[in-house]
Amino acid sequence: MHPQLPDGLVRIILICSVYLLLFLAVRQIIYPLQQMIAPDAAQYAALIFLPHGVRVIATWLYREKAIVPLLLAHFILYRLFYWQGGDVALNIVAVLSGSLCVFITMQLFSFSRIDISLSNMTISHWRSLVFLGFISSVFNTAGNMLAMGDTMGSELHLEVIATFIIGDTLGTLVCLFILMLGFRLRRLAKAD
Amino acid sequence: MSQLEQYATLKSMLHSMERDLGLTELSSAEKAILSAMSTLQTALASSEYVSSRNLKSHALCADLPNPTFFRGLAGLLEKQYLVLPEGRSKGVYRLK
Repeated sequence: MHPQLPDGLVRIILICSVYLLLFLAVRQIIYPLQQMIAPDAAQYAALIFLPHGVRVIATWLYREKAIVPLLLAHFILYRLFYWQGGDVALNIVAVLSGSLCVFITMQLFSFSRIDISLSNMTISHWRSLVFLGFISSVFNTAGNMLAMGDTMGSELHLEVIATFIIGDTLGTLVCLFILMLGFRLRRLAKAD
Repeated sequence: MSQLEQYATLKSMLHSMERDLGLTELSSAEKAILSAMSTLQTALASSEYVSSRNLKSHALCADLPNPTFFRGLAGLLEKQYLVLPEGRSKGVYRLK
């Protein structure tokens, strides 16, 4: 008999590993491709940021239990690639906004009685998740802009904000699409 | 929610995406049964199954004629969307 890992540990390993993997895919494949195809379009961030899809799906599924793994994965990546010397508090704001943006949006939805759970049969759930990705991206972008404030010229603000929001929303959509294709291929392979 | 329920929730959401994108090969009866199943299963423990009687009385399946409903169940079993408990050939089901 195989010893079973506790559910919490499985969840942390799953979310962290998928988040890290997709971040590396964006950094090593998507962003360089974007720079090759349209170097002037968006120089400051990826136009398809897949990890935001992980934030959305994980928080929708696991609610508050997704916070720790997302915080852990985002902190590791932020520390490695984006941490700026100087104000530690601003870096922490950026980490927290990235990890908590979807949870905060879901709390606002819940407060407004907007039910995007599966028990609400009157909505399209995947479209709701893309919407959740879009709204939560606003919080994520606000936190990041606060953290980057002094290091970026004000003439770039609008472009960076737009790139962040487009990247997060498209990232959520592409992430859902990849997951759907994965489940579909798995089902078709089993049926053969 | 247990891991299995979370998996069923995710699968159901992705199935609705497949359906919206026109990629699914399911009949309308099968889609109704699947949607009803995911709602009913969410309220159950991971080891429990949904009975065909409960499924048939769900709002999404109540209007389906009996032969269509049971053909739909058989189709979903064959396509491996649903599973039976070991040793049973019909009566209670879960999402795979």
